[in-house]
Amino acid sequence: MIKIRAEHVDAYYGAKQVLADISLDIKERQITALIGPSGCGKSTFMRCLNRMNDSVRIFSLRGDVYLDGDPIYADTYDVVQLRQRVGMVFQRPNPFPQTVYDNVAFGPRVVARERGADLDSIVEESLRRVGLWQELRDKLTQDALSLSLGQQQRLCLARVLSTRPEVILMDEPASALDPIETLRIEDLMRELIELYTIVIVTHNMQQAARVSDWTAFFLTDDGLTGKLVEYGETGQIFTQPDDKRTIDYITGRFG
Amino acid sequence: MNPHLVQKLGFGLLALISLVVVIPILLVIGAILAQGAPAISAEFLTAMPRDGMKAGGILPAIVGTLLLTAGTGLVAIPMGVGAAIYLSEYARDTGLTRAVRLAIVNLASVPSVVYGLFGVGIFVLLLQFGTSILAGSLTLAIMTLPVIISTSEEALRAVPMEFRTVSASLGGTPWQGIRRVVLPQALPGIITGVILGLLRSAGETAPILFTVAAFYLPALPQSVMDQTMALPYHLYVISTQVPGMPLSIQFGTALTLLIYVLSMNVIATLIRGYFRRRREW
Repeated sequence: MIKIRAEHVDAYYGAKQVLADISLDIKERQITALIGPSGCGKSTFMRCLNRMNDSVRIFSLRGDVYLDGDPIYADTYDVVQLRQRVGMVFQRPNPFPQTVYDNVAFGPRVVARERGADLDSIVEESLRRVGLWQELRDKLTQDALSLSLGQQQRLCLARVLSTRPEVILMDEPASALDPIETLRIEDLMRELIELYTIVIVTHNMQQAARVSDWTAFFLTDDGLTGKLVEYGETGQIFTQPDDKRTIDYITGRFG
Repeated sequence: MNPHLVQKLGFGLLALISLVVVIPILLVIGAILAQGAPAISAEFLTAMPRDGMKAGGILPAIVGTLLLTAGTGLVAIPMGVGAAIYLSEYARDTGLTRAVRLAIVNLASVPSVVYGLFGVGIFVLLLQFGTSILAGSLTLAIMTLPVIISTSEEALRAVPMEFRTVSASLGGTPWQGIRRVVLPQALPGIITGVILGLLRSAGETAPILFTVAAFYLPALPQSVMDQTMALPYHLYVISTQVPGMPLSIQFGTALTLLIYVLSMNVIATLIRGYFRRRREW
């Protein structure tokens, strides 16, 4: 099943083209890794999938992105609903400077207007799913910023889960974490694909190889416009890629 | 010359300069305290003035100033914070918003007597509010707006962009992000700005001179259309307009005004400290 389909996506910042002709199918309940050197457009591409680039005034996009077959860049498409269905975890753990509870409750509270016991159970369920419930059940009123970085990042993941998304976008979610916390996040991702489709941007080759089912390799040849070099099953990309540039990158010859 | 000696001399000089800054404030407070404290009594704070203000208390002036501060806040806080939210969160950087910002900066430097005359022209005469608490509060509110707007806008801008992005990524509208995340973070700064603005308005004489202040009115105001006495104007009157006024009443009034303003300042600091303790990013 294809969850998200990008067709001939071109993206521009003003007159500068930052993505050229990206076509990519993201499979449902699988992990797709977007890899490539800095500035290759992988993060920009990921942000096209939940229209987070909309707030950049000079940003424009050509081509189509479909979620379950519906074009998300259509004029009538509800962006608020899109972002509930396609959640996002950022590079740096960024909980709100509020309590643990309020962080996880944010989405359901403001968007779905959940209250009381319903809200409590959503918070509990979301924290359980990221393995934080045991640690934090007695600390729900604690300031989220007093948690360790690893806990903060999992809290951010719980904050996304509480909006009941279908797709989770992760922008280098472990780059600020130590190896143990990184492994926890990766284990979590493998558990979460029971229910969710995951797209992860990562600089870390081993991480992409360990965690993902599919890998897309992005590259820019002019330092500006990102292109999709190769896309395929992770095992194949890492063992017998078609493109010489992919070999060069994953063997560490550049990037 | 020996660098250590230079350093010592330099620091000594700087300490001296700092001391010079503090001395006048201490002298003012000291003088007012020494001469005003004996005048402060239960009667002074709770009674009407008698004998052409030469005896009795200053209750109507205290109540008047409290009412004017409240009225000013009622008008200036929603308008000022609202404008700040608009400017910081919604307005695009166009010629118009730049003109608005410039206007706000310039409004802040308009002399207070000009606000007073403006208040007479617009509120007292044109809108027929008469010399009243309403006209006075509105005049003070307009004078206070630029302070509230610019400090609030600054406080809002100090909240990291990231929180707005995260809120949007969770399906929140811009307003939901502002309401739930940005405003609570900016609150200490906004409160500081609001209180600083209100403090300034509480001590002003010129804007209330023609718009609300009564020379001698030994009764409490009954409605917002009434005139009222007010501490700063009362102080001006009894210091310059009434011959043979006992010095202790003058200093007592000054001390009352000082205590009012200082206590508001302390409250602002406490509120700010309370909120600051709870945030870190």
